[in-house]
Amino acid sequence: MPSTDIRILVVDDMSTMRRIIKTILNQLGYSNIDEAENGKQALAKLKKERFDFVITDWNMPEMDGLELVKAIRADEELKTLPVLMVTAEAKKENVMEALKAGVNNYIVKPFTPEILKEKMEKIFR
Amino acid sequence: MKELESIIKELIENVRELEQVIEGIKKPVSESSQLLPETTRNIEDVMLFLEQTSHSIMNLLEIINKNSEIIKKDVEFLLSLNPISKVKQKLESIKEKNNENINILLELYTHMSFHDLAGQQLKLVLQVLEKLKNSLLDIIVSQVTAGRDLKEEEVSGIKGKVSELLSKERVDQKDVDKLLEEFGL
Repeated sequence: MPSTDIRILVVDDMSTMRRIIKTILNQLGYSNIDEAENGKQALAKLKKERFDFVITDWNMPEMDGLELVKAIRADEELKTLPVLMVTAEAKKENVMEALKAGVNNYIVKPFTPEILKEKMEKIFR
Repeated sequence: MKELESIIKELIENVRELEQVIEGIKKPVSESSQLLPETTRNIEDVMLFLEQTSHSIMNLLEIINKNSEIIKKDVEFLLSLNPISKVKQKLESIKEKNNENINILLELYTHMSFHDLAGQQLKLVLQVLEKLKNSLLDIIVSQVTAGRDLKEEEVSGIKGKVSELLSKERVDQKDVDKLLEEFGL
């Protein structure tokens, strides 16, 4: 598992979902967490502050998760930032599209704390 | 004279046809202009209610979780005092059950993502309603403009008016009549 000191950005337009992810992360020992409501807001935060990991939803207004990942991968400063996509989009082509855009891993909602832990371990090993 | 009679007959026929067109348009415009915004508002209310309730449930879950954490610490303290075997056994059992509860609470917490999943489905319904509104708009406009030699600007003007009407929170018959009057109906 990555160090519990890492700074995590949780991106989701649903406040309940941000809260769920934050609580699970807290249970896993992570407390340095910030939030953004959409890709646009997330990108602005990422350019201003340092983060070690991004957990993002796919369907969001203004800028969706896929666009956010593409923007991160296109940015010289951010391109190596690990990104985990947590979404309700469970079709094979969705997963392929996200992987093509550059996500490091993919979780389908609803998910358990064990799944999040397992995916984080895979990303940071 | 016969020619005049035929012209008048034809005119009356046209007026009757036009009346049918007016009646045909009045009802769907009037009904849809109330139903579509109302349904959209109802769905938005459901989404808001779901969000508020989810947060309330999560607040309660957090309180229970905090209490469980306190119980955990207290039990650990009591166990550190080396109690007699029977008490120790009971404390170990409380500790185990309490841990079980903490895990269940976390599981419950993750199930709250139903709000997000339901919200996404409701958003799809809202999108369908918007498409329905646009289809209805096309039908009404094509019915109004059928057989009339209208310029492109006039057609888009009619479209704008009908769209405005369909987006309004509530319209009464007067609004519909006013609109039809503007179309020359």
